[in-house]
Amino acid sequence: MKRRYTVLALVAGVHATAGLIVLAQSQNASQAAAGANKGGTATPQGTGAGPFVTQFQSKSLEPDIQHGAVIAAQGTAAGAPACAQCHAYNGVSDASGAFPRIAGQSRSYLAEQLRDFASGARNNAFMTPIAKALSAQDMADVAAYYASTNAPTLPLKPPQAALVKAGETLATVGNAQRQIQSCNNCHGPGGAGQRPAIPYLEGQYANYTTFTLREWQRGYRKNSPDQMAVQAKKLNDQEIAAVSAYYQQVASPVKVAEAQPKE
Amino acid sequence: MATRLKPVDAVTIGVGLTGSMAGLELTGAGLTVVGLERGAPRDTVPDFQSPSIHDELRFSIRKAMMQDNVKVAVTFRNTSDQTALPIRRWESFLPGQGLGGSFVHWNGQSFRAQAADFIYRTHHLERYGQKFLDACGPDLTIQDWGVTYDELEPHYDRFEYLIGVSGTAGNIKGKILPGGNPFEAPRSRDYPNPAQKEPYFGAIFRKGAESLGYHPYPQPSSNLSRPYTNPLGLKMEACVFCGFCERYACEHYAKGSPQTTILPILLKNPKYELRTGCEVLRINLDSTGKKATGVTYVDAAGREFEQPAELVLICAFPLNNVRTLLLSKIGKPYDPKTGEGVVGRNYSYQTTGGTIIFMDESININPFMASGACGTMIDDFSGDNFDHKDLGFIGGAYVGTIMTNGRPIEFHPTPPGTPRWGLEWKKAVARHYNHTIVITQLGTSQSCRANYLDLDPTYKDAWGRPLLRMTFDFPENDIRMAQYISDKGEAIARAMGGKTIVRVATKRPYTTTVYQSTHNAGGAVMGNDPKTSVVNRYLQCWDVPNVFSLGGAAFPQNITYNYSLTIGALTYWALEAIKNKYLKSPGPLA
Repeated sequence: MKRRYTVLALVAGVHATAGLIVLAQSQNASQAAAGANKGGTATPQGTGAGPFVTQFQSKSLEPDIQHGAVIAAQGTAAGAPACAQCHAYNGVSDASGAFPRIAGQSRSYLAEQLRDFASGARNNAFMTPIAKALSAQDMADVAAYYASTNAPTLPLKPPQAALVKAGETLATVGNAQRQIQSCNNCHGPGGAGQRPAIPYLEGQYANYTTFTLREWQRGYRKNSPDQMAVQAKKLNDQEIAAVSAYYQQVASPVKVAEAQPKE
Repeated sequence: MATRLKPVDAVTIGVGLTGSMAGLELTGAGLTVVGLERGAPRDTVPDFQSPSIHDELRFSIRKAMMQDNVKVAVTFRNTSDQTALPIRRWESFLPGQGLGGSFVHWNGQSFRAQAADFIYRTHHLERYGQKFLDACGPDLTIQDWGVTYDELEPHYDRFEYLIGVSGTAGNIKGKILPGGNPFEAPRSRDYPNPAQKEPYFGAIFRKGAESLGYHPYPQPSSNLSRPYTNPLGLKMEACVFCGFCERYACEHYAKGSPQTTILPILLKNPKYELRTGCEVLRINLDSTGKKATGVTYVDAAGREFEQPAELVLICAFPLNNVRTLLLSKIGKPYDPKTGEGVVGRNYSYQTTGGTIIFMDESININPFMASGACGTMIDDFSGDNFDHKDLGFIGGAYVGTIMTNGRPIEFHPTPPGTPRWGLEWKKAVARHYNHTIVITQLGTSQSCRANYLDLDPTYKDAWGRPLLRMTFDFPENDIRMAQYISDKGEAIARAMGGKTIVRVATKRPYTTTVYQSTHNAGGAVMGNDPKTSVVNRYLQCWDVPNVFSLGGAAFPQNITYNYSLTIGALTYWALEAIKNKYLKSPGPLA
């Protein structure tokens, strides 16, 4: 007796069984599918899915990168200054680290930050008034522009090797005693980011990373209360300095090892 | 020869969920406890950290977290007249191995059983009568548990707060609440955390189910919806919907597990000692055969030890609890020919099925943004929530969209007629990957006379002991149930607006080569009659009162739901009895 199975291992393995891993004889599966079509009820806009779908799909504006570039270079008529003044036209900002590197950052992440600056979910004396002067379309455009830039990482003087090492441990492994998980869990290997929601950290200026971790600690950033605020509050000053240093140099053309030869 | 070690008060065979709970409760009562775990020690940091924990090939396909079946496998056959063969690759079910056990790689689906589940035979006799039950299947061996929902309720509650379950209450002290499951048994208070956010596929299901008059609710989840500190003071965090939950460990401290909710406290207790890499060979009995003297185990270096203990708790995966009893000659093995004997009797599983809905391309599901236990479902067809009078079967299933991942190796839905490989297959995957919704049904499994566990006469493990042999096929009753529920799922799928609908439900014969469920239940069942149960209502062995068998092996038949929460509640219930009754007066508990 030979039976042929089609394995519909859709929700994969799914331990504890959410999983529809179901086996069905392929014939029967096909028949059911055919039956469903015959019934005529399985149309794309079937019972109520039409208006309902619109209600749940988030509005996404079609971005105009050219217009975003103009905003970056010149600002807007409504009074937003040129982004390039601080972030540079290619998004590398400057080596002071007073402003984050935004070149090639996720479009969706950048747009969300602009919305959050405007709403106050992210409170910043510089960025909040600027974001308020941007329309929703402006935000989408300028976010798309900076997401599209591909700028080099500046050759900065490498931080202390010991600091980088401590930062690397936190970034890749975490700290079991203090229940700190690795930053890379969410921010990706080497802080490469996980698009679209999670920003990259690689090559970010240490001063900026330190500054923004403090913003999380002190409640100036409220746009990830259950994740980043919780994580940042676990870190002490040493640890903040360490992870900041680590991520700055991880994408740098100048390596720690080169500057400070091994003993 | 075995080295005899210093006696301790209690030993747990296995340090997964029940072993960790037992360790914590019994050391709390002043006992010295040794936990023997055959797998490796592991913790959130550093073992579960990304990116290595998201290795789909290693964990999902090669089953890195599962029982090492090169050393100990399980043999399987459908019926007693066949010859069983060892399962060399886990597929149908996935017993975990290592510190924390299967409660590390579970999904976090956190259901209570219903009140009627615990008085299963009594309930069905009262509602439908013996004649009806006989018609469902004269071979069914369903029975009551010996414990009631009301007795377990405080323990469910305590366990939910221990692991931080996120859900929306549907019934608090008899008051039906909006948004929750109106069919749930009354709970004494709300969940410790609110339900996780509803995913888009869940919202579409909700709409479809409501249009048919059903009662959708968010699946209770032990992937937390917000940061939480449990009653032991352990801090957990919110789930980030990474899409790597079942078959994986959580890197975010966001899934209820022994590592996140118990072990950091237990392992600091000087009265507790964890020994990993230790395979327990058997429970040792004294000359009367009525009292356990401890266990014999082999450590990772191959050295044999005897660990004397006053109390032995079997805390392994359900199948391994049964095997440990059989290897230790505790209780009378079940004989399917005569129906006599109890160890291995009433092995049950879970009856699954569902519907795959291929949606229009305008509907983006984003299946990769998923939590292990987030979804929307209905209980209208669970257990005995609907009238079975004219249906010819007992039992039921929940129905819901509870998609857990969009991982690249495992998730590539294609409609019927698609070639299995090549360009057309690739095109179909690209077309449907982000536009497919899966409705899952998971349901009861009735125990019956022909399904059982015993020791294999041929195949042995790495230490020369017989493997456990599973003899199982779905009873006709469960096939009828699965088909009936599948009709309901298909109707909801149509109401959700699917373009193409594929309906699937459990069929015979059962095969171990396709994942279905890791809720292997029974085999060392609980009850009030020593003729039909291995352990009493406190999970204490009838024959050897200083041995307790904790976990899913105690289920006389399987419930509608994922069983972890019920295992947690039963374990608390048994441990309370040990602390409050047994320790005061060791011996059989009334």
